[in-house]
Amino acid sequence: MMKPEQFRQIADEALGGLTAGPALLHRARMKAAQAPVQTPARRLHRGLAMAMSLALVLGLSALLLPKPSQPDIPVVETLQAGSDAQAGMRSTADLPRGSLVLKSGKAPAYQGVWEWGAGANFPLLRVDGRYYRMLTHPEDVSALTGSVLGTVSVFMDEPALDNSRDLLSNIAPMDTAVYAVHGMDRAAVAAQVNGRTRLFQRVSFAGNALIGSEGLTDTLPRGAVALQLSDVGTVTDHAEVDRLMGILYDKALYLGSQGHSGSQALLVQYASGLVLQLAVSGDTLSACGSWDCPEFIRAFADAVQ
Amino acid sequence: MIETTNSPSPQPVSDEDIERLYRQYGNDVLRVSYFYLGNREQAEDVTQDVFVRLIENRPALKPGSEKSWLLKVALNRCRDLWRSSWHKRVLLGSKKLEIIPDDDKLDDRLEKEALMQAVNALPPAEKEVFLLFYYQGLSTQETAQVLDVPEGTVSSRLSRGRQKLRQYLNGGDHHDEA
Repeated sequence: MMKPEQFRQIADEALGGLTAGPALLHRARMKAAQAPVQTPARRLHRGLAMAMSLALVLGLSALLLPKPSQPDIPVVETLQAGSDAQAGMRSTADLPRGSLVLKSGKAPAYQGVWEWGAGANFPLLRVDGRYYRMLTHPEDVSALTGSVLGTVSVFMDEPALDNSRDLLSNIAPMDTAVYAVHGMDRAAVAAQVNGRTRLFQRVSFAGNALIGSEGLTDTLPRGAVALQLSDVGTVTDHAEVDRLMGILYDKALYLGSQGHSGSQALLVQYASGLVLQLAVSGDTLSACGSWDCPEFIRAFADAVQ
Repeated sequence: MIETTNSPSPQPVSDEDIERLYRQYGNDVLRVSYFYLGNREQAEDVTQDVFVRLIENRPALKPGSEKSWLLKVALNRCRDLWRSSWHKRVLLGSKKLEIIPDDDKLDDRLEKEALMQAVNALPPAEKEVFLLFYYQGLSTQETAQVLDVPEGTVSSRLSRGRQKLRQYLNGGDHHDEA
């Protein structure tokens, strides 16, 4: 009869086909990259803040009973059904006022240039381990393309599952040539999609952002001629744009590879007409990694006043 | 005179440590979880969660204690899943553990499989102890630390588990606790 002491050897044999491969660790890294970082101190602060907020809200509610706030989303005006409906009488086909509410979809309210995908991932290219997101504007950049960087050798819907460094896309078909773009260095590339040469901007993906000693200028090149921050304004004066971008390049603090969707967009336009985007949430700007720069946000607001 | 030790305090795990720990103990975490849950997908989810915790929390682990930390997190997660699947288990009954051999190494397949099924059929508390002590080679002290129970409890659970194994392998009934 088998003894418990033999269990390890037997279990190893019996479960020898069950191995933790690299894909599983990759999944863990992806999940960790998506989760918000919570330090113990931050958790404590958040807990205290929530408790205080709750107490404040409950206390004020009891004392003041404020009117409920109106939703910002549009409400469709609806009428009682039928031509001779009597006022005050409801039939089964009636739609009382406010019963239909238009909700905003997945796309953010601001006008950005990042293309959205039909699936879980945005349309992208991976070149030399760097990820690039397709932009909506301009529709064709064939006049600005430079040397060929390679051709798409992996086409798949789940780019995060591919651990190789092959040139990959989930939008540009196999064997599509990928080009450098004049003036963009490693910040953008171009490739044909549906017959048009589309621009792709360097972004974070699956915890991948800056590589080696790269900095902000590697993903957001110098030479911007205009800036637009949604809900704040536009700056087109070259000297002012230079000053603002100087603040961003000098002061921005790298927070990590995780990207944030943001509630605003900073559009950075270049002399070639190309526009790159950073998502802005508070003082944080994200495209290829996230950067904290309250000085830039303040200076921008001052510049448009 | 106060004695001082020169051993450095443990540092938070680095990216390299995570890679190394995954290589060293990834299979152990996966297999213990599989043994506990009897479900490959759930075992992979548990393994993923364990390493997500490691990546996010970056604990400062003493050399030699890494495996215990990983198995402790894994077993806690397994217990959560085990409890949450109570209705399913009670309604459908516990599944027989599916053996996933590497090629076809099992010579005395029937006898060995019988031992595997016997361990699988142990109640969770005894199965945990068995997996840590006999499968993962932890000492009773380390097993007690992982499970947060006194060392005596580990010994008594091992003793009870061995008795039940004998009964099971000799053709007696076994208990399948929910």
